[in-house]
Amino acid sequence: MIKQIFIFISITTSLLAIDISDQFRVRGFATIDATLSSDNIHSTLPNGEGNPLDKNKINYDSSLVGTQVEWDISDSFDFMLQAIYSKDSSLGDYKASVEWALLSYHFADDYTLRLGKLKVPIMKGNQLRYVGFARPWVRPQISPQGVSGFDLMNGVELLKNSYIEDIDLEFQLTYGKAEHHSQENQNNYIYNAAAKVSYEGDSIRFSYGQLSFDQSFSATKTNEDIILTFVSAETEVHFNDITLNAGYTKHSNNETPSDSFYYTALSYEFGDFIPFIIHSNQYVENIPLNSAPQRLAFSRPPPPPPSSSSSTGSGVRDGYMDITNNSIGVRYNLSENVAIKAQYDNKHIKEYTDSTGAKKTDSDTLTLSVDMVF
Amino acid sequence: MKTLSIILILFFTLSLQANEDIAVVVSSKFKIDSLQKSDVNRIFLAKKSHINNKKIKVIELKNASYKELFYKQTSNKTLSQLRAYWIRVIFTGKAKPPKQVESLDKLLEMMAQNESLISYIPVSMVTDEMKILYKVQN
Repeated sequence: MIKQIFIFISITTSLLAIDISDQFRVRGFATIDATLSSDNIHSTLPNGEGNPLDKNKINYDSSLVGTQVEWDISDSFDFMLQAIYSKDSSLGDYKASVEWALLSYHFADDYTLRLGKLKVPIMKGNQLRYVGFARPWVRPQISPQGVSGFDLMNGVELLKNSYIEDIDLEFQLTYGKAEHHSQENQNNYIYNAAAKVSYEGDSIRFSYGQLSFDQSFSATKTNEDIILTFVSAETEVHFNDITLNAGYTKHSNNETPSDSFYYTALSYEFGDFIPFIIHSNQYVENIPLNSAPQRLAFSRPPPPPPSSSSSTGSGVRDGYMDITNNSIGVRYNLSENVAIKAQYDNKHIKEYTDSTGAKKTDSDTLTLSVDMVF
Repeated sequence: MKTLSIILILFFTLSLQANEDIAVVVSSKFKIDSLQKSDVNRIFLAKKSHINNKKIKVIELKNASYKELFYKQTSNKTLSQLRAYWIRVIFTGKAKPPKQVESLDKLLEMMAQNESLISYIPVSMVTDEMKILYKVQN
């Protein structure tokens, strides 16, 4: 697979987009990621999500290739499909999956209605999770719990661009049924409302949403649906050549452990070199003791089972997991569509669950990657 | 000798363009006389697609020497930041970047033929069939 991605990149590094015609385009993106970790448990994302790593062995599992097809049907309608070929941690093998497949209708004064398969717009990192070229650093800054693994959805979305004097406003309303990334869980609904305010390139975005899903994944099935509420705020501010990115998200619900995640990143644009530092933290709380969630935070977790405390009235929910990640790295723009990145991460985990007891762990990760778009 | 002459002419033309003011232009038939800087920013970053309820489309010269100056002054973005912006927009399907035209002649020809186009060019290249809506000072 890695060889295939290398060949793909070799062929396409001189291309930007393939215009089949004025109305039809093909674009693509790819990442070759080589990661070396001092630990054989912790995965690649700052917060624990992703494919587990083998200790002291170069791991290529975050490498992927994606393609996007765009068709301008008319001035008002267009269609976009995006698919990726990547390693699936639950299957342990590469597979192709459709990430976006949507029909857009542009109407009135800067309204857009989108219908089809979408990425849940909880944070920028989720919508651009697989497009490494879109960010200075190697991995997306997102919460692993996210919306409990429901990061795709089928539904409808309304976008509206507006403004007040020099301030730009962007509204995004989303409704539909979510798809779990790796489980066959039944989602009842998901909705999200987001607003982004921009001024001269600086921006802040707020998002609020809710989803409901049944508990068919759980051995301790109950009749009560889990209702998950998620909020997020994300900002990007420029000071000359310095960019500050920061984000916060919190997920809470009526049945299972909840989590919060924040990140702060500083990057400096020095010609084609962009050095950066990142600090992030994820805190999972209310983990039920005597019934600890399995593999929590070491792979994309299924929605954790309901706690014994809520269903039986016994037990406590004092378990927690506190993951702090500090990273330093550099991005070099090799050309207009190819970037090389190097990143060092130190991850510190404090946890207290039934399976681990009280435990502290440190791990170091070194990653070299090549990201490209065309 | 001929090749050298062409290179020198190209060099002086590009130098001239690099030191000129840049004009945001539409067809002279377009019913608007000026734009604010914030409107220019929105139009060229695909946040605004209509002027006076009329749909507009952005085209730009590929690899224009004055592109960096234009976007720095209208959007406060370097070319690298602009590229990052478009990658985010394109791969979330929210909008499409301006259509790229290979030569200035082709751009001027397209502007003359299509009243819904808007672009930015050096002031000295503005023709009688065009209307300047905004100027970026060099």
